[in-house]
Amino acid sequence: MRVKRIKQTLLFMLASLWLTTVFAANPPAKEAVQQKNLNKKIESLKEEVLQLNRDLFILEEDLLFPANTQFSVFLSVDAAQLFSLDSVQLRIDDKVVANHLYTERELQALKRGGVQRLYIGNLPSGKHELVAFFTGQGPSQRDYRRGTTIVIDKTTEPQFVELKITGNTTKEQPEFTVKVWE
Amino acid sequence: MRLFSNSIFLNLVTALLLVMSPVLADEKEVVVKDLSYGVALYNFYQDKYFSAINELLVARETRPGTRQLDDNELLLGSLYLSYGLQQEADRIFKVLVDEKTSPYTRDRAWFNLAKLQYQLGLIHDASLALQHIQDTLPENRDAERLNLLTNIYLQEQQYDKALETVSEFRGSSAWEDYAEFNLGVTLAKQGRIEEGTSLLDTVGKIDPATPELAALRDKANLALGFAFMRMDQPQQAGDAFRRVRLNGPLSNKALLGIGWAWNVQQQYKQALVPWLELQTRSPLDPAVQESLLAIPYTMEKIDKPKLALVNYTKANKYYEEQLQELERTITAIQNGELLRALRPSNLGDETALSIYHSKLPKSITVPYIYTLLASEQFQLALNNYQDLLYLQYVLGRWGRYLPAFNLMLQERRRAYQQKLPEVTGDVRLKQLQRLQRERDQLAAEVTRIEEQQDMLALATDEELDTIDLLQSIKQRLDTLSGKTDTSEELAKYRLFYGIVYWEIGSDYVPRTWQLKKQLKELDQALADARAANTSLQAAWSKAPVRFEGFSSRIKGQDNRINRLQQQVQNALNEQQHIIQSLALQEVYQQRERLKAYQVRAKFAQARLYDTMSKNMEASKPESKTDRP
Repeated sequence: MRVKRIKQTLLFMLASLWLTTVFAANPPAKEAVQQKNLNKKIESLKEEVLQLNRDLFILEEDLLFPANTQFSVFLSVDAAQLFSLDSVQLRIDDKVVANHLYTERELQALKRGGVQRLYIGNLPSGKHELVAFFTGQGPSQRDYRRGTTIVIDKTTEPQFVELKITGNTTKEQPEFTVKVWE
Repeated sequence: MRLFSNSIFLNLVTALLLVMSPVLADEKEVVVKDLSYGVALYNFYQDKYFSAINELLVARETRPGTRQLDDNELLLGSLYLSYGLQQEADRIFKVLVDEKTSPYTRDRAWFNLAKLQYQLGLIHDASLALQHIQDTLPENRDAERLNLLTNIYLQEQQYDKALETVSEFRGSSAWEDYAEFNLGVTLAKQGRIEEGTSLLDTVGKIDPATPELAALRDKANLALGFAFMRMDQPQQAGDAFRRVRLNGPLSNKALLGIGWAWNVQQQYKQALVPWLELQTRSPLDPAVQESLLAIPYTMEKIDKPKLALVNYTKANKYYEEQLQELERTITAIQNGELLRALRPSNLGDETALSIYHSKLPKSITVPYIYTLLASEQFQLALNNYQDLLYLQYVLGRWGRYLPAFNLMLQERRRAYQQKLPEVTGDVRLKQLQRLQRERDQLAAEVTRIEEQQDMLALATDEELDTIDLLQSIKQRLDTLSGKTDTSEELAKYRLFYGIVYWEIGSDYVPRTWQLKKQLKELDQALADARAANTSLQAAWSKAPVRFEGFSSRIKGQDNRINRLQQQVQNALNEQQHIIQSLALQEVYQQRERLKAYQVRAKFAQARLYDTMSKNMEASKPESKTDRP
């Protein structure tokens, strides 16, 4: 009697489960085939648009920032535990050329080793003063504002400068340095 | 509790995320030796795949001898893989494993290749690729490798090897839990129940450190519960179901299972407890819908036919209402309401195009396609849809920029034509030769001064004036000589003359050094001027060629853009059709299920009415006509 009842219940249950699982679980096969074919087209389109984007990106850079005057500034962080960056301001020859307020996502990207292209512009050959102001929170969550200055000698080649926020572990303080890439 | 909340949806999607996570360089080992590599990472970490790939492609084109070539290529291959460009990824990894790269790069390339081949269904090739990996992978990446190997063995139905692989995990890694879960489910399905349930039991008891693992633990317990039910072990099944979180996405299925576990043990009243709890939850969930039938079914079991009838009637009414709602949802999907909700609000914001969409769209269809939205098939379709929209945005932007490029070029040409006569006629450019001659004369004079030790040549104007004055004094003294005694004045003259000469003489060396320094500065200034002149001449002479170069680079791009825009639009139409079709099928399936439930509820209702009326007939006293 008990076995019969269990079987009866199981039959009801399996019938119900069949309804919930069979109707819900099977991915539509027709769409899967259509999607597979379309994926190939999309893959090829992505490739073509990437190539076009690359070509036009280089063209735009060549037009707007010719090699002999091109000047770029990058920013990287290697002291996330000592300094949490809020914003940065960049001045060249006492003129503000870039201001950036960081989102949480951008900060995470910097902390994980990413390098931000902060500014790209044109500078004539010769000496120029570059000043960067950083605001954020230093050790013990204190508000922090620091600046760093460098005089660069722009040549007729494209020039790349990296602003680096590093940590001085002995002083437990962040340090702001500038590296000119050769 | 909100069943269709973003947090629960996130649980469903993050589980998918871990399994499908893109293959990267190992973060702890990231060393940026090349700015392009760093910028690509910065974009990649913000899910800006398109920009990250572009950065590396531009670097490849403009700076081919980059410092971090292998790392750039490895990252580019990984990005291609994440962005759905499998062929390009395959090509890069095959180059990296063939060339003389470092063991570090080669191991990662083989690993990426194995993942790619597994995705493409080339299971044997994936297995061979894994065999090439040496020992440079860090612990967590190695755990991922073992998980992949387990999945390969499962696909090849080599279950014993899969079991062996699972035992090789060292340390604690989420990959081990995933491997054990997959193996447990497969073994249980294959009839190796004890081994399968043992693995599922292990995963079902993990202490979850992340939401993904909590979701996996729930899935394991649910699968374990159903396996025990099939093995006719309802008590153990109930225990497994009870380990599922009450607020998780699988809680409704677990509550339904707990009810059935009690039901099988003939504990009908206890079975009703979880099912009645389900009645407080969203009636759109299949488990809740099923419980609407299970409750009256159980009430019949405990001889409560009237209550059962009331509940069947309630279920019927509910199914009818839901069927009407589903019809409205079908119309909304057909009218494009869902597609509009799936469009990112800001197409230019690449960060909004995450591979995994953890936020629910604002659509009235969401409650009905909730599970579909979290499925791999739909997520991939949605990625394609949003990627195509982004491609459309990129093409549109370049389409708008191209006329500006042309205008810019025209303006430069015009400015060049205007300034050309000014520049070529500028006399300053012709003074270089004269200035050089003057410099040479000056250099010769310096040499003479040095050779002849001509100190007076380096005297200042003031000193020369003093010497002139002293000389005129000497002339006067010579005139007076013999006429008067000038010996005292002559002595003074000699003294002053000596002082002036001594001062000039003692300053001779620094003055010569200063002169030579100035000569060097003059040489540098002349060299700079010559370089500037050469550069200017070259720039002006090359300008027409450069303009032509730009012209030819711009030319034809509008056709290229137009053609691609048309192709992207066609692909977009196809993708939209697939998304709508998936959503509609999901809703049609729900409609079928509800109709099936409704038929059963109506049948049960009719049966109960029939039984009850027969019972009433049977219990009625004999009719009056029969009375005497």
